[in-house]
Amino acid sequence: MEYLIQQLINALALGGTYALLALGLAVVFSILGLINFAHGELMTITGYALFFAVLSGLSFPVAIVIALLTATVCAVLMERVAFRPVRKSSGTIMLLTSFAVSSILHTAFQNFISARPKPIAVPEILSGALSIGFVHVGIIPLMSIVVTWLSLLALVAFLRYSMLGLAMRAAAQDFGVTRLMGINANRVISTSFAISGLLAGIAGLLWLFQRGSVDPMLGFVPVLKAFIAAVLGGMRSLPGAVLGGFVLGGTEVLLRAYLPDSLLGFRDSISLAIVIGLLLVFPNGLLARRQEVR
Amino acid sequence: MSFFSVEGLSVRYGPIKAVTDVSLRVEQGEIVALLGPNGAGKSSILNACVGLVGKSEGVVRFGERAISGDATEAIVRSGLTLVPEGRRVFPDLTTAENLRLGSACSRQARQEAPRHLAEVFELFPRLLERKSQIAGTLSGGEQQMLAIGRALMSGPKMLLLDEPSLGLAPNIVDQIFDLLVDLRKRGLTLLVVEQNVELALDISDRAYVLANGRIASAGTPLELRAAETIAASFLGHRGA
Repeated sequence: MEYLIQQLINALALGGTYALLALGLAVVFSILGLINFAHGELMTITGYALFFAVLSGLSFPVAIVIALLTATVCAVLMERVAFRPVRKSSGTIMLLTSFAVSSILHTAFQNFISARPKPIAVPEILSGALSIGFVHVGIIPLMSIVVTWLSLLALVAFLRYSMLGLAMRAAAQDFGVTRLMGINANRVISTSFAISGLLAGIAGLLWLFQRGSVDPMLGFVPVLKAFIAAVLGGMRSLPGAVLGGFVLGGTEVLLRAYLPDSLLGFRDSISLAIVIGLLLVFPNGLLARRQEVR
Repeated sequence: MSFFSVEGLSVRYGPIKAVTDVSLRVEQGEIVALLGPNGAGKSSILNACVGLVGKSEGVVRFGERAISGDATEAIVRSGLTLVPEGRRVFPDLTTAENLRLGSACSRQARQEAPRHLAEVFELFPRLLERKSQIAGTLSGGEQQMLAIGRALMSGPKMLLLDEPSLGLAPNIVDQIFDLLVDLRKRGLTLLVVEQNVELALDISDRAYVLANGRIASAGTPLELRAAETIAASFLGHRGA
């Protein structure tokens, strides 16, 4: 029982990280129809920003704020420099642009920083564990869960109660008519990238705290998982992205915990087979929009 | 100078010319109808007026200013709003959220939103009853009311309406057209694109008839109804 609860906490922690990343992808996709494969590089940028901030002697909390700000600003810059000039082009060109941005940043990290992992000294308090009843829970998984839910609540409040959030929800349904409301299209798109960058930053930090180092490939695997989670949830659906993240994270953790040793090597394959099975039942994703308006 | 005018407007979609050298004018407080069969270029003209068409030539003037080339959001802020064809309400947002978005164009519109909202609910009491309902679940008539109400939330001086009767039951269409007359009485200027020729002529001061992307004729409803050839060719009936 204790083992199961611990695994469920791990599932919530990993699922939460995937959910944040998938949400970042879905926020941009729902408005622009762009799958931003450079999203993973925003995680990596967060890691390097944290590394250099700590290296320059800043306190850890300040370094975290700087890392998150860097991810947010870089996401906005990415839109302004790379995606805005091709916004009116086909989806394929935007997709290729995102691969190009990802590749350029990846090469830049390798050539101008290092191909080797840079260790980040995570404060000791984060590496401890708490005893809740008979269950011992690591601080980092607990923090992941709390941070994920706080981020999700903040995003829901922003989307529901602010005019800009409402405009983003409207733009996800019908971008042309959103402009007819007199809403500045560039502002809505920049905000969606800023939110996407911030979510990638938060997920990047949670990922880093687990790994303890940053390297140029840091964001590659998580963003691939996030893409799968977003597709599983229903690509244009923000709640779907969150659900997809938790389903994928939960599946991975539970498979790791309960698969016999001889099958552990097939964990990812089994996990993906389960995703494919779900997509066969829900071809448009678990929470696909009932009607497409675009 | 007219309150609103279009001079020499041409619209292209790739190699296809949808609108050729169209000129029209609307005076303040008028209802002007833009009539014509399917594919005549009526919607393209309205979309070009609010900057939603990529490539167009010609000059669109609203008040003192030439607005052609301006961004859609700037045009809406200047007081010219389009109610698009097919209503196009935001289906997953509530009625109240759709209306709130209508006031997003400027600080002034946001400040005046409570007054505009009261006016919209006075015009459409049904929307008040349905304010918490998801817009996609409203009836066609209610969605049309919402689309017009949403446009009114920006405090416009002039409304462009694209096929307001499309897909609606006859009794609802009558209600919508009565409302357009009411809006004019409240000081709004209207340019209405419509296929329901009789109804459009009933409420308009003047009308333009469009065929193959060009203005084929123009005049008062009386003049257009009297011109039997034009009526037969473009209005789909044999005159009065």
